[in-house]
Amino acid sequence: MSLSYKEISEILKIIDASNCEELVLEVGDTKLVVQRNGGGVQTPITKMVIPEATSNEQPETPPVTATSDTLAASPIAASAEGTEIRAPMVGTFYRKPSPTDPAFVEEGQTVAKGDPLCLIEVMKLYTTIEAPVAGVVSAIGAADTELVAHNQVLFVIEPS
Amino acid sequence: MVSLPDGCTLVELGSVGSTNDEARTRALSGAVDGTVIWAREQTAGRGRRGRAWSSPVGNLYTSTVMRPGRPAAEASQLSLVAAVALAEALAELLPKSTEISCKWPNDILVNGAKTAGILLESSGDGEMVSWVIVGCGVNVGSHPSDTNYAATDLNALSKSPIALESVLELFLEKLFMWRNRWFAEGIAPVRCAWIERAAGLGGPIVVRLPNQEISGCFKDMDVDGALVLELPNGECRRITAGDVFLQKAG
Repeated sequence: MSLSYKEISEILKIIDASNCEELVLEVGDTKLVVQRNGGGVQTPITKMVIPEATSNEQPETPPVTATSDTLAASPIAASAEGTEIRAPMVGTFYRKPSPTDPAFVEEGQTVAKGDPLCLIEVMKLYTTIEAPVAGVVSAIGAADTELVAHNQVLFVIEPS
Repeated sequence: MVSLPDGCTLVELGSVGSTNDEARTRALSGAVDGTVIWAREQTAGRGRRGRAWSSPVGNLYTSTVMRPGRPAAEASQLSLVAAVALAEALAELLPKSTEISCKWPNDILVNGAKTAGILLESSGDGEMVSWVIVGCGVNVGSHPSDTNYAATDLNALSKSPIALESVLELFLEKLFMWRNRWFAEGIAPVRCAWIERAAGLGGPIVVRLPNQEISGCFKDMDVDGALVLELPNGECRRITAGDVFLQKAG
């Protein structure tokens, strides 16, 4: 497994939006080092290790210096017109309000801005992810009860 | 009359479906940080994954609207903030001989029996949460007898009946004290306080995930609050959501 240009671009966007000063990322035999201040200042290093294969299972305990986040390649292809809704944190993805309820949304369904799309649970905090735009759900990027990674694409909504 | 921490507003209600639902409705209508819902009874109280939470008159049901202005990834730490606050409050209300512990992530056990549950809900636009509801149910005057785990209530363990107002006041005092500490110092002191009261740490547990059960040793709670489970083969797995069942050692 190696990193594509698009994946590196996405990683740099995440780092840019964070407080992280330095990143060392190892994927298979590829190593990516990012230093915000040109390496002139000694700062704590955040190290992320991407698993060799995506899995529905919980990631193993990272090293003490690692962040909790494990990035996963999205199974959803990029869309020129669609709006991607990404996971704001690592957590368990639920498509239904409770196991006995129907799913919030299905592929092909029309949604209004603000409609609930899913829940993500972390330590008994249930966060409702809402549609940021109106449109049609063209793709769903995770299965019900799957562990999702921070920034993983969960839904794509295309203009109706 | 309930004495409240600075910045809190109390909404006292009789019977509601769920205090979390009431708080959510008010949060969506603009309720400010520190809005506290207190109901005498819930007709549709719920716990994790929509499970019913027995909610007769005589127990405490309260939900607090918070607007922490933090990323969603950090907001889950409020789960531990609430657990530590409630554990401390119950420790002050009950005889010193009682053992108050936290079962990951935020159930409160008294002498090993579940006495309180906490459920949080949030919503947000993108990375930041707009609001977090901290919902809390405490068995004060009674506890359900049909649970698949040991349960108890405060009055069963107290020499004299404890008023709901006393539990609410003390919980809110501790909740906002710990929240302010979390704002100022981050998760570290909260994690330390939680670990001091951790139920089953170092012992055998079963974690029930949506599609499987995993047995192992409760090794640690990491810096983000996730449970670290050591498997029989020595590997460690990081758990961010699931039901934990404590097992007897040996």
